[in-house]
Amino acid sequence: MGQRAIAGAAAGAVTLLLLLLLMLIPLVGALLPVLVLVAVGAANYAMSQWRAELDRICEVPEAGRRWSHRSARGRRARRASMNALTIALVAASLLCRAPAAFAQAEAPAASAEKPAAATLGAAKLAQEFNDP
Amino acid sequence: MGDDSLIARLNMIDAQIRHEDDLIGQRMSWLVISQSSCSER
Repeated sequence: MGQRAIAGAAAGAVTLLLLLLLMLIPLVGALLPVLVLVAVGAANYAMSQWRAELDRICEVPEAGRRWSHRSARGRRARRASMNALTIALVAASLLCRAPAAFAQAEAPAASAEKPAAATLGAAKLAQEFNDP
Repeated sequence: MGDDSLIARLNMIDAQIRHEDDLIGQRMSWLVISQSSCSER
């Protein structure tokens, strides 16, 4: 009776753990990257707004006479190329596996067989320990 | 707009842009770290 109750409690705990993992894995794998990317986009947008404010100030004749500013067109082109590069990097990081994962996949599976030399050495050591 | 106020405003904008740049750097670090810890599993 007691063993059955313990087995039931263990099964319940395992089910709870599985449910927790089923919640956590999509959260960490999908929601978190999307949230972080949205936050990066928000910071990028805020920065572009401040840049526009800077351009607006520097276009004022009396200010532009003293603080010449680089052209907004070149900066826009650089920003577009950086956006494309960022999107490509994020897509590559999401689609491609890391080198460590490749190495892990290609590594030989850990088998239960022990090398013969190790087994012999252990047997000899055990014999010496039991029969000094 | 006087020179002093203009300089103060430009400094403020500079500080804001640097702040946003730091935020982008931090968030990209979070993204890279979270993705690398996910792929390790």
